[in-house]
Amino acid sequence: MDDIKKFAPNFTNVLYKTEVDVIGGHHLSGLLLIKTLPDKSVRMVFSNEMGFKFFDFEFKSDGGFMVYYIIKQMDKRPVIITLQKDFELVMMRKRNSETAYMRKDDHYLYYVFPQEKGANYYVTNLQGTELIRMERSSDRKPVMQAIMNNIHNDIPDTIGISHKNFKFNIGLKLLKR
Amino acid sequence: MRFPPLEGCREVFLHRLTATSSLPKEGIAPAFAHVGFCKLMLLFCIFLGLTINAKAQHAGYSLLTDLAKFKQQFAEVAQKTTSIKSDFTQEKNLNMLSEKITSKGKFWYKKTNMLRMEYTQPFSYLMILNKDNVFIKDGQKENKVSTRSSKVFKQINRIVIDCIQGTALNSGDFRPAVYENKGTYLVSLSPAGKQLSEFFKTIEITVDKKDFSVNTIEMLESSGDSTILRFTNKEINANIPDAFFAIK
Repeated sequence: MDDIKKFAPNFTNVLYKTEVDVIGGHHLSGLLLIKTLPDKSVRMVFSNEMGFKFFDFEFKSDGGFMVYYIIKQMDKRPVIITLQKDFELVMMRKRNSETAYMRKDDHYLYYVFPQEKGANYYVTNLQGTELIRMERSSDRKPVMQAIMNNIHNDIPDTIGISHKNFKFNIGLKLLKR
Repeated sequence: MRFPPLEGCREVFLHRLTATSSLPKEGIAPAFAHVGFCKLMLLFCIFLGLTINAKAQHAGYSLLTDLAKFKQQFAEVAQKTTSIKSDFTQEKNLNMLSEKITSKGKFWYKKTNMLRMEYTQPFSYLMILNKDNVFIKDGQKENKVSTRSSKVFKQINRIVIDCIQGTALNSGDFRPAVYENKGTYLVSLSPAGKQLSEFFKTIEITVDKKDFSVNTIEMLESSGDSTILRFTNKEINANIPDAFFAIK
């Protein structure tokens, strides 16, 4: 089960142009900085193009999560939890090998990591050499799907996050600095 | 656990597309737009004159005593400034991450109420403010907003007008202090209202003593992070056609 780890991105210090589409046809864009600090925690700061900060999160090395800052308009538990879980899936955190299991069909392998509620899935080709997509589900239904493309040096060029039961899509494109 | 099914996840997704949102329905985008515009409005204010009073110390600067004279000089220059064309470098400093995000672009301002900011590096992003309307082009996506359509925009608009007419000097939106060194003035603005102080601790503007043009604008957040805009290759009262600010 642990061989899925080879697909995990390594966000040493990267900047992504970020597009978000939310309910009501709203579109917003900005920059997402992801940096791994010396203590191995990962900080994620989202601001608009003009430097205005929307949130500043920390994914701790021990699996913990901390909100350093979030603007009032976004400071709602469902919003924060959604973002936290989405990025935990993408960063391939919360993989408990004791409860993990694997499924298989004619086309794909499914690496399943049960969570407190629902589970995280990593879907690869049958050979396990290509990560097709990542998924998050509640106990009853799929919640979100994510993809990573053009990975070089463990850093994906694009990342797409798409929610299934309400409109909330995130697109990330790596910026060369 | 019923997932994943034998037929694969994708099929199940198709069967189970139900709309049960856990995100706030009011949407967060307007709020996002709002804060961006607040900053722009602040930029505006800077060019058009603002107010003063004393607070923290700034290295190398001393508190200006003749405030009235500064205000008057600034107002006179603002009066004569019909347009500004400039390059800019923006530096976002993330204190705890020891990290900087630097971007570059071009800036155009024209009286009254017209502003164009075009980021060219490392991403492209265009923002035009023309009287009551805002236009944003972000990659392929274009977005038009009327400032009349919301209470927030109305308030921002008021700040702009206050600045242009010089009434911002007494509007109470900021508590200002002015310092000086040999070549520059430093105007330190503390938001007086709750709405602005949520976003900024202070805004510091350095003004060239030679021509009263703005060198830098620094927005400091209470977290210790900050954003600084540096203006270079400034051209005051260059001829900029109105079409440059047209919102189609």
